[in-house]
Amino acid sequence: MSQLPPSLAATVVLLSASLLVSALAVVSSTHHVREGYAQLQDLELRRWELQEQYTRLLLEVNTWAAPHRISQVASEALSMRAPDLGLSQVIAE
Amino acid sequence: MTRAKQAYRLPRWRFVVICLALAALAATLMGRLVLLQVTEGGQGAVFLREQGALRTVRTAEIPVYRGLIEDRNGTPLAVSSPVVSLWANPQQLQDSPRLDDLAARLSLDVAVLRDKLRFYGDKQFMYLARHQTPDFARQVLRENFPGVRGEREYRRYYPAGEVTAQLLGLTNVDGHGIAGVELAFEDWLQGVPGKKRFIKDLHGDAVRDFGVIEEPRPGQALALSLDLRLQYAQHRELQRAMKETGATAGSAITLDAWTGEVLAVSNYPVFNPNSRKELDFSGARNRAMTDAYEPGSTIKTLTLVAALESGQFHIDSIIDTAPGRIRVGAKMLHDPRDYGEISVSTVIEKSSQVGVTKIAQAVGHEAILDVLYRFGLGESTGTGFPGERAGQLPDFARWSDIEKVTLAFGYGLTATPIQLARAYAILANGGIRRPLTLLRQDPDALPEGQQVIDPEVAREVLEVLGRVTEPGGTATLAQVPGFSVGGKTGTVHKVGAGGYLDDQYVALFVGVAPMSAPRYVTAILIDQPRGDHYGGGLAAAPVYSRITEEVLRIRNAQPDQSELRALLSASGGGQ
Repeated sequence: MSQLPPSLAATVVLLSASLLVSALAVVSSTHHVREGYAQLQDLELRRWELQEQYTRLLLEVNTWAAPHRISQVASEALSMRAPDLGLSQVIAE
Repeated sequence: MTRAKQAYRLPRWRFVVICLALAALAATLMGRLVLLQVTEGGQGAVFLREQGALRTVRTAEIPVYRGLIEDRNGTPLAVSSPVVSLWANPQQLQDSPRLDDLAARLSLDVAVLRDKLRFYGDKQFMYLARHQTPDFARQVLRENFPGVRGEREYRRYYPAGEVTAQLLGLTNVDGHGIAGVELAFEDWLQGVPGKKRFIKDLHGDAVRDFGVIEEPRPGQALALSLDLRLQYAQHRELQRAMKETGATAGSAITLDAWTGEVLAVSNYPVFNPNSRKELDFSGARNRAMTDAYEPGSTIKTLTLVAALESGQFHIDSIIDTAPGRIRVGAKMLHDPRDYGEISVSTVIEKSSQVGVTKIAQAVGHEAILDVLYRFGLGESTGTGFPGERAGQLPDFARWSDIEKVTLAFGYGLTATPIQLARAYAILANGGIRRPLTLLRQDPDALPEGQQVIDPEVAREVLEVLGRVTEPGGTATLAQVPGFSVGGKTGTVHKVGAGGYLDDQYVALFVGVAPMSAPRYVTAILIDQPRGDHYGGGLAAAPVYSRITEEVLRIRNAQPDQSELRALLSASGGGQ
């Protein structure tokens, strides 16, 4: 075995080290991608569930606030009625 | 080496042959590698990559929701809600011992399920139960029946149910509009599902996402011109009128004459859009827009326009209607009684057949037909509603005497309630015709209108319409407390086999309110009211009154009948 010049030897060591580092970085980033992807899937599922909840609540609100229910509650439970004209005053615009 | 050299004297060619053979082996391997990894054609790299992808990479559709439909105030009218459709791979499920269990869970008959599985036995996919609530679907999926999976979908719900059913229309089970607004604005509402690619593992779970190939584009929200409160009130009053008159069908439509917006439209019969099982198609029609009727006396208003435009008449010109009947061709036309000498205005107020006939004979049918055209009869209103009819104007080569006059009182032509409402909206809007729309308009960016009659003529006609609802007119029941309203009744004999039927009527009323600032036009049509109250003045005008009261209240119109208001204030509130 002939002797390598020291500068070349240093380069080889440096390159091998960086190869090792980059290989480990690949492993770690792949791991992160997987983790991130799992998280993304969880979030997508969550978005779906939230949307599901949102539309359910939207429908619920509108069922409670349906005009016929409001008029029913107003007239039956609260004994309200539309003001007749004698009771209303027109304020000039 | 040196010792071997001494022991065996190898011929040089053997060495060469071995070297070449080894080199050839190496070259073959390398060549094969290059072929597999580098070259593109044949069984090369591309092919292999594709084959690999075929086994692991899947493209999945990203479902998108359909756009929300809301009313002018943002209240949702149609909402897409996530649901889960349960499906199965028949080949995996077929021989499962848990089939009974699954059938019970889904409330299916086991025998039916077995038949279905056998039928789809050579397929990999079949629906078990579509559009299940996510909670229920999750419970079923948690039990891990073999081959049973869930697919996310959206289902359309209509919070207002039957109140908005005919206008909004329906979507089919795959979420495409098949009727009404859902169909008319399908492109706008319908989203474009996205696509993504991912690698799946042995169990079919995604392990790595290649990302989205096509970005999903959810459907866009649509704001209608409808006012749900108003729509509800109109619907309620129409249903009530149907019950009271025993009519077979009816329609009501309210327009904002200034903007051309349709504020409410209801029909009878109705259907429940949230339950498909009991779908009855006679209830699915938006009759106010799809069914054309003979408009009868409501057209006399337009005859009045022609009369005023001709210059031969003013609203105070006197017409002699004695003796209360007039012969046209072979036919005798009657008034209910002899009104004698009355003004043109009174002719309309009383809806005198004889008076209108004389006006029609004086101005000629061409002039009347021209007015009808300008008021948009026989022509679509521009809403784009699927199935909207344009009605028909008569187009005879030769007009008989009777045809020339019947046109003036609304026989021999057909129009939909929305067309009648639009014609009156032109009057209310100072003679400016606007395209009608079902969408909320920006009041500062209205489409250009077209001046079709002189504003002064429109004003005079409205003045006459105002008198129709006053004491002595045909539609006193159309009055709305606190407001001055105007309108015109119509009572039309229905057409049956062999001509007009004596005992079947269509009652109409088209009105404008408030007269001080005419803006809201409502047309009422009641098909076959029973009993004695069959006429427009008795069957339709009260419905108009009740609906218009709500319209003016909900739209915050200012009461304009000061005398009445003073009167009511003095008496301490009317009740």
